[in-house]
Amino acid sequence: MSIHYVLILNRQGKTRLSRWYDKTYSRGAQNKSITEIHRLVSSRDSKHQSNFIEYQEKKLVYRRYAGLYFIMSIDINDSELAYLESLHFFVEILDVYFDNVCELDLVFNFYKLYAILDEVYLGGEIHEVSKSRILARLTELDRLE
Amino acid sequence: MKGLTQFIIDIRNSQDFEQEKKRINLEINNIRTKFSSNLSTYQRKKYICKLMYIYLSGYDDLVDLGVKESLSLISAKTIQEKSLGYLTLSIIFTSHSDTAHTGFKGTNTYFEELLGSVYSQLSHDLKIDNEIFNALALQFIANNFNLPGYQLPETSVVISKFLELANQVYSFAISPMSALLLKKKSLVCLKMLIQLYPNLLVVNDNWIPRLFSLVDYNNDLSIILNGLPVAELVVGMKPTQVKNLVASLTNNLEELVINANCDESYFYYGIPAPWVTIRLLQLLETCFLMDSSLVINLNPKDLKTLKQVISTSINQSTKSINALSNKNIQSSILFQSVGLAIFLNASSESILGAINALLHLLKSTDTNTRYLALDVLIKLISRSSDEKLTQSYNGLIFDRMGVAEHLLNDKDIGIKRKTLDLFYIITNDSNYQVIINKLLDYFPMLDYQLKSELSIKIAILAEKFAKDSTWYVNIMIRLLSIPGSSANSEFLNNEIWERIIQIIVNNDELHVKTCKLLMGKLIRSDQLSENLVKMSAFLIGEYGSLIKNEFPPQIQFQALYKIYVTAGLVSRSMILSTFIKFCNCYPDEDFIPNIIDLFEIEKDSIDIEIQSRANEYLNMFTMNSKGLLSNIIRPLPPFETKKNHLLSRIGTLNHIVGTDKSSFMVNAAKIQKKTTNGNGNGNGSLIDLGGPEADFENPFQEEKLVLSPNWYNGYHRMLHFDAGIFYESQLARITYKVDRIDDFKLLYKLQVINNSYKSTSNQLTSFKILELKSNANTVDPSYIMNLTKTPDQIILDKSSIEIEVKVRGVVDVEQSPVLSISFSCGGSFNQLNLKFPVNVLKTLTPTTLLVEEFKTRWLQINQLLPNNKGEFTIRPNTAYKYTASNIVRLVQRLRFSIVFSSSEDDPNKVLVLAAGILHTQTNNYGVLLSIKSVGTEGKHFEITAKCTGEGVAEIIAVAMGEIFQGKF
Repeated sequence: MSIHYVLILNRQGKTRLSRWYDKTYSRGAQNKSITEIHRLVSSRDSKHQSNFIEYQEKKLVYRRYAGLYFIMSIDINDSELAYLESLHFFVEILDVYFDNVCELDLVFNFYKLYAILDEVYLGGEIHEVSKSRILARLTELDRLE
Repeated sequence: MKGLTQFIIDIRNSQDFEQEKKRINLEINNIRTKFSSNLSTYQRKKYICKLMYIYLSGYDDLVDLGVKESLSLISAKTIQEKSLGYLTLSIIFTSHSDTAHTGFKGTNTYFEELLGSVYSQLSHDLKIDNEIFNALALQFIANNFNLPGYQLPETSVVISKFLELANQVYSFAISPMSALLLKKKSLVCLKMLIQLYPNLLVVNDNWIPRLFSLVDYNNDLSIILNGLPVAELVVGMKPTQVKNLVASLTNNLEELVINANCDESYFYYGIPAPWVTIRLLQLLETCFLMDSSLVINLNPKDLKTLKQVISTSINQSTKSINALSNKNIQSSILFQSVGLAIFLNASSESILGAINALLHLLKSTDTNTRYLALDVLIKLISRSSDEKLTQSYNGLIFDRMGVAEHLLNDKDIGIKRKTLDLFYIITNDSNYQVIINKLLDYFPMLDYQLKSELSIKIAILAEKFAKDSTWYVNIMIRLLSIPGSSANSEFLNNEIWERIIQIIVNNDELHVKTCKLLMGKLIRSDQLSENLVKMSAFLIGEYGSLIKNEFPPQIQFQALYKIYVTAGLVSRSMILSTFIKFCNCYPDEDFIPNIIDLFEIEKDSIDIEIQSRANEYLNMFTMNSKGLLSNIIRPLPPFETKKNHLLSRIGTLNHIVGTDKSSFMVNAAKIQKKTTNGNGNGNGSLIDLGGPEADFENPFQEEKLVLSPNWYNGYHRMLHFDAGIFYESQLARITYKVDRIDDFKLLYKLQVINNSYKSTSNQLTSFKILELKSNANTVDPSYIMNLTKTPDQIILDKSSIEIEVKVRGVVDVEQSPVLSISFSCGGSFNQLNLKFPVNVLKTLTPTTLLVEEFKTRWLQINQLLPNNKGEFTIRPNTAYKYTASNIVRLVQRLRFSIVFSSSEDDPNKVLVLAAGILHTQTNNYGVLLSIKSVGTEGKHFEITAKCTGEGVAEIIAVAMGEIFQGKF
């Protein structure tokens, strides 16, 4: 049981981050899925519909923060709520790191975004769940660069 | 990087897609030319970043542009460039299969190409003494080596490179010297590597206990978190390892959930390490799903702890909740715990209580809650192994079906789908008619996307529960008629009518009945659903002659002829086949010329299938001089397909339910049975659907355990002494005692004593039973073992292990079991594999015989079992000198009774005769034993065993021989 991919899409469907842990997806398949997923997610009504969608025999867990959708694909029988909350944890990290994060931070620092992601999720697993440890590590990486 | 920023701004300012595309194409050309010239590192970095941005924007026709440059960035000396290189490579380098995400074409070359090009740098960055570089290389492996469904072949050109990397990564994970950061990253890598090449665990048989020891509670939480997925993978491949994991999972949960004992930085909104807890609960769930006997074999202490963990998390979740985050994570622990509760033999009241609570949650206004409550309900019910309880759960939900029914109108399609799953799962013998009718009523209102799934569910349920074949046929016809006049009924899978036809063909009783029903429909209605037309065309062609009294051929023909014009292409070609069957069956009827005319017309059809059928049939008919038709057109033989293909299309339900729900295998036995009575031609059993296929292929089955040095002393001692020392080293001593519970039940009591405590006051920690491996045959085993007492994980002084053995048949010496244990002591990791005898002689009882009786029986056995099948002689040479009294003591120790013993005075002519009864669960055998000296030294003997069971004498003699001689 693990994460197959993590996406950050904006409301127009532009990709801000895409990390495919499942490497059997070809690039064509990746882009096709992104288009379909954006269509699925953006058409949903946040009030009356859940944060979970079954898609391609897997389950999407997503949450909208301002104009951005944070999306994750997990196994059907994995714990949706735990990953939903884990997305929130990730957003909290971004918020501290970028000091009140907004979409532009992610646009211009997209390569940095990946480095942050890799400290929270690695190889499709939730990798670290201590906020202070992650932030300390990110500070350390910045210092070295 | 100014250029990069400007480029991003340009793209963002594009007025429309065309402008953006223009700007990007311009940049791609620019990058191409730049890459072919000499670049400074800064420039290379800049263009690589631009390129990455382009890839990210969804441009996928660049054909690996930038791979070379990323590779050269990886070999840079600065961290920024190196990390950028690894990142770009992981985004640019993808598998090539263009056939969407279906087959794994291209995966093979993907991995070999990737490893081929990046290996030397990865290997360099792993070996170098630079933590940051090590971490980057590990991250790359973790993020890019995950190819579900693909395994690296042993013959791959990159195998040696792969193995070298794997060993490197493993040493990071396991070495006490490596930094925490590297340790946790390497664990994620190991998961990928083992998945790619499971043989790693076979080649390195010492990996498993070491990897398992990383999820013990004394490790850092981040190590445990990252170690759990690896443990899960290992257990999935080697289910026998399940029991070695449960103790430490339980221990972790106890500390986290009950004692809230966790590093402060791991608290999340007041909850101690919730994601670790969830992962632990999930892995436990996997263990229970995999080993259905786990709960019985669970140490009572652990079972109690687990029950406590679950009740604690359920209680905590009902506490007042202020923050949303808190609530989400609490509920996720709750849902995970409830799913586990069912395995722990929870009382039926508590489960009924849980179901009631969940039913209540179905009314919640929060969509996520409704969704998850349904999910857990389905899990709970499908996992309950007790038939009676399941019935009462189903009953409870059925009684309150109204609650669930309104969810069929929910705004979230996911909830509707789950509600249908719930209905599917609670269907049973007593409610199937109500539920199926409800589902059929609901069908027209259902969202288009769900129709196909529901139709499959209905078809499976009807087949599974039908007791009355007329009811079954009626329901199926109703199902197939639902789309009404729509010719475009894609959502009803062809598999459904095909399956129904299979069943009808194989059940003679249904032939007439179904044909009559279909004819009725054809005559009454002008517009039938395509599926019904197909079914009618097929069945009337095949069995129409059986109903010709009620519906004369003329009527049958008219009905199909009328519908031909409006039917779809597939139906039309099927009707053509029906008509050629008519030509064969009723050659003299008036309508035959009409059929021939139709063939004439249709042989010019633009549809190739119709055209070729019409043409072939026409020719067949015109050439029909020598009974050609009747030779080609034969009654359909029964189908031999046993599997219901519908089951594979049931949607995602099977994922939730787990692997072992045999009850989901549809059983058409009830329908089929009636036929066998009716026709007697033996076709009936053909839809006999086999049981569930073996769901586990264990690649490790033949693996042999290597026994620890010095195992034999204890083993040999145990052969003839019932108590003593089993094993001893500087760290630990294991003593044993064998108790007899009754004639064929033994209790092996082992006591582990910490030897090191007195000298160095070290504890034995992480003490575990890795495996208790029976070497008896898997089919009808000669003995069955049960671990009735597991040792403590931490041993200060001593702790005991108890193993109960039930002897069912004669146990061969070769079948003795092996006990594997592992423990740590003062930093050293130890694993012991010790064999202990479940000896044929352990279940012996004495029987008093006079010498005369002994002699009579001795001869009787030869008559009873001629050709020496009842006796066996062995001539051991002993290491020590034995006298008659030594032997008498030894034989008595084995619980033989002595019949005769030569006197001590004549040491050269030792003769001991003994007798006993051998007990097994299935049989008792009389055993006679004669031991006599050969020569004068008292070191050579001839032992003859005779036994009333064929072949048993040999096993006894060999065991006796081993006691005398040993295999030191």
